[in-house]
Amino acid sequence: MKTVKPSRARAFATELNLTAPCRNGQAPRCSRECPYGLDVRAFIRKLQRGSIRGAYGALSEQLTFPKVMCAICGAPCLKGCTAELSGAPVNLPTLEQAVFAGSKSSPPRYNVPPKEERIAVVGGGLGGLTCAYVLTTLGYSVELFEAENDIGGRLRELLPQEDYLPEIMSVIESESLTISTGRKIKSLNELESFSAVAIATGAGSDALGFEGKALPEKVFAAGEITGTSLPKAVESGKAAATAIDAYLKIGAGEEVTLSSGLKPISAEKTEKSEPLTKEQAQEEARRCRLCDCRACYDRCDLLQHYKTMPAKAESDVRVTLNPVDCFMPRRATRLINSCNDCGLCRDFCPESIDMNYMLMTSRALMFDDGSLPKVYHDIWLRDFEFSLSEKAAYLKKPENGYLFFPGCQLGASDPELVKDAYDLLCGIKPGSGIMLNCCGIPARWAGDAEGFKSHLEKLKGVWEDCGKPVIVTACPTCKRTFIEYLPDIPATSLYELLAEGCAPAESSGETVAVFHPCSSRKDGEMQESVKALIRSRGITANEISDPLERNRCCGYGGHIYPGNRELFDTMAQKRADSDPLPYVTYCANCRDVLSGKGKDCRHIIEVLTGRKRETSPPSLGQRRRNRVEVKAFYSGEEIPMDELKLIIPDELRNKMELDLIGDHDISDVIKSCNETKNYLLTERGTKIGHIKISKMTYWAEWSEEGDAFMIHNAYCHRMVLEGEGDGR
Amino acid sequence: MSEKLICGKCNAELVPKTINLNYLGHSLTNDFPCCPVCGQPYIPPDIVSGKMHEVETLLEDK
Ligand SMILES: [Zn+2]
Repeated sequence: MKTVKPSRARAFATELNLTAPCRNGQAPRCSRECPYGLDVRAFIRKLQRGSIRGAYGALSEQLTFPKVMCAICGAPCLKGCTAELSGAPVNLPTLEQAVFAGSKSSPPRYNVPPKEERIAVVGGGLGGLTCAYVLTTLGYSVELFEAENDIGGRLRELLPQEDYLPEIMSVIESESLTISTGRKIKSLNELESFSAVAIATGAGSDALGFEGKALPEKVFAAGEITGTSLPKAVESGKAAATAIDAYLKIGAGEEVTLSSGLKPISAEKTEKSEPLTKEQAQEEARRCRLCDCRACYDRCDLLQHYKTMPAKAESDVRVTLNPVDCFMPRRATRLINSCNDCGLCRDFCPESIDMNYMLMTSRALMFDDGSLPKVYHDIWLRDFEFSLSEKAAYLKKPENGYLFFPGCQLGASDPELVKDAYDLLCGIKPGSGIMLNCCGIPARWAGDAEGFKSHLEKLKGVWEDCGKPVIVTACPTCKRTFIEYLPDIPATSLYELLAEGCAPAESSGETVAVFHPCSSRKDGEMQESVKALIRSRGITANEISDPLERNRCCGYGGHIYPGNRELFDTMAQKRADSDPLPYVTYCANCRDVLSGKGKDCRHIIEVLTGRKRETSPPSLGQRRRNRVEVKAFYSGEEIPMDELKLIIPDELRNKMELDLIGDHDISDVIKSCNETKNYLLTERGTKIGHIKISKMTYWAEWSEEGDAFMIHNAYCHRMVLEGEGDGR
Repeated sequence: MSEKLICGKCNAELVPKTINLNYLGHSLTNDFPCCPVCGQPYIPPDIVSGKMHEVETLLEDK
């Protein structure tokens, strides 16, 4: 018998349930602090629209005695208000008082057919009154016995009579309710004619002799006698009424034993304030943010781009990984490929929900089963391969136990940065080695878990061969990769070594904002070291002014560009606009992305050497040539690039950069087409040809100019022409 | 077709022909200028950046 083995993606999707504890869509903190669990947002929304009546309705729907209950809650909501961070909490009690002052309505009563049973309620405090009231709404006849001459119980100590009696009377008034005041019940025998009895004589009372004892059948407890606080006596009164109703209908009941020696829990009066006008109330209500947990959303460009929340994103991911069952499109493919792998979501989530893990794991599973469009990472994987090739990779073993690892992008961005960085390191650690290579993160970002793992193993092998030196990184992503995925290898950053013992110089008056790369977020030492180095040059180092904008990805992370150019552009522009000060950063990609958006952004190594690059970020083709230059500089042998000499007009060059077309791609098109004569001749005297390189098809239109080639057009597509591959 | 194109290998003028395009397991057909002898196609840049890009995006979200 053949068993079908479910795919790994499908198994993951079936098990996936990360967002269950997500607080988005749940009650805000004020509601959770409220003893009544009031839906504060429903109340505030009415007020924000200026509806006092609507706001009263929102309260009376939820609270049996709205005014009384708001007067005795002690306003713990104020402690739970997040607006407190930006000044004062939204003053909910004042708003409630404004609503009570502005509305005369009493709650509607619903008539149900009267029932035969008569019920006695002993005690006219909040719990007894609520119990009696709820029983009358259920159709029972109720007689309430109060030992004192007035009802109210502990309310009498807390509030002036006019603040509770009118509201309570207007709520409970009913033909089926008789209130006997000044009538103390001493024993259950006095109440034999009743079908059920609720004892609500308050905490510390003898409870008709049942204190510390189990209650007999047909006898129930309500209010503070059950050990609740005064505000919660209402809830307890309701619960007793419900229990009595159930008992009378089906005879069911739970055995209840009363505690002995109970003392009343101290109750706090809500402070009274000057009444607000309707306009003032509306204004105050508008300060409320109608809080919902958005800790991840506020920090995640992906969630904002898709206007989605974790639970919805998770359900889309589930369907995308397991589309067979649902006959649904793989609607989250692009979303899965849009994660920058920064982890802010997890670190700021009060429940530590790891959306980063979910998306990167999904990406790897889709890479594995072939459902992730390979073109999303094809260009970067070829770039990765190039950085490991003999043209760009190089190793000089260390003599001192320190191996400089500049990463694949620093030299690509500017060969001088690698040379300067290495010189700075050798200044403090003479005899350091250098390794031109890549940490392998492009493979992880592509979802190629196997490729990533095998690259890490190779790095580990080299490290062992070199006598297990300390790896000194220039790129924070390289350092994070070593620390997270190769924990045996001691890794530090160049900046931490350079900052040892460096002192601030006299201020030059210059101030910069430090753009901490997303991968340095948890690396306080690297962050502080870079700031110390900036200060050592007499420059004031500020943080980005908006806390929500700190340690955010420039857009480069996760290599999302080919799959979501729009999101990349939004992120890059937002980061460039985060702070008006010029930036200093310590990731070559951050510098190139942000300066590509017109932001004045220097690499820390430029600050240290005082040499600032004036040109715009290098093209893809130049980045390869730069790597070859760095390798040649250290190895002394230059391996030819095998590239044709191309003349590319500026406008076309810009378009090629947007489409990620490298000079090497166009050079390969021309070489191949000229060799096979597979090209077309135009009336203009130019040639047009195409070839497929890996997953992409590249087209060029060129003419020969001496030993060079003038490029008239260059473009590429992802669809595959008949006979040239299957387009997977 | 406004442009006159000649195949560099066969010296023949391109004529419209239906060809297949594949992407992510989906197959589409469309008419493009092709060499009548060897079949070498021409996909114009405005088709690539317009219609073809649209279809690619659509299929990626499918
Ligand atoms: Zn031909």
